[in-house]
Amino acid sequence: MAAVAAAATSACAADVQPVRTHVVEIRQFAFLPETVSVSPGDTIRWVNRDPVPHTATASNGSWDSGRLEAESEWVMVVGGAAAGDYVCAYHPNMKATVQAGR
Amino acid sequence: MGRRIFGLLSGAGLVAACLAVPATGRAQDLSDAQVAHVAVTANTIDADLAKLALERAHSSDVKAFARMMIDDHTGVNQKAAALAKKLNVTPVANDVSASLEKGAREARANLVKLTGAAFDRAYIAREVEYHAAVLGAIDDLLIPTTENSELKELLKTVRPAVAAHLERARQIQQTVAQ
Repeated sequence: MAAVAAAATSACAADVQPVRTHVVEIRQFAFLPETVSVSPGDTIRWVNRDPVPHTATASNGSWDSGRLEAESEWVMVVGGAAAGDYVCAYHPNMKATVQAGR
Repeated sequence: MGRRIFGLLSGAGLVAACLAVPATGRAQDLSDAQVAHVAVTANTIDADLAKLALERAHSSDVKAFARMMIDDHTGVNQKAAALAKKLNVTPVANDVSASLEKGAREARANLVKLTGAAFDRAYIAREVEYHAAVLGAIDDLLIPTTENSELKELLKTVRPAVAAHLERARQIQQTVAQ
């Protein structure tokens, strides 16, 4: 009975597109995963696991984490214009992508 | 392996001279405390030289690179110091770190004579050589010779930083050469 109720709730939630949290780890000078697929309202959490500061900075300038010290994190709620490539402003060879749609 | 290190470092000019010590066959003799000293010295040298670069560099790319060197090498050294404390290891000075310091003094003596675009070119050339040599030393000397697993792991974590610095320095070298 409980299982049936849970299944019903979950089906209901799927209908309204629940927001999701995506975690991107910054490790060994790379964003992992390199691509996240998101919908508006989702959140992305960047966690810096390197011993050095990094940023997550949209290539088009629309969003920027600012300086993320070692072992710190930054959370962004995805708005309409979040999709696109981004880099670490300090290490421009670190590149990744926020992709629209799931 | 000794010959491989020698071949790798001998191509790197000034830095070859300062890292030539392990090539003479003493590589296997470095203790973890000595490896820790080499790592801390290598970071400190490059952060210090970057401070000179911030004062003298002309190009905004070179200045940004110097800031990155200060941030990254300082960050790595903080982590190394914390690990040494945790492991109760006191870094021990050795021939390799002494040679690194000698090479750094020579590089600085050369760079302080230069300004503007000439400084940019010489500084970035030094950074390319230095990071190439340090990357080789991490792979062929420091990681293989380290016994403590946490120190080894730290070196593996630092490797991508050095590789990223080398890649960026090479890119900037193309622009300042023009």
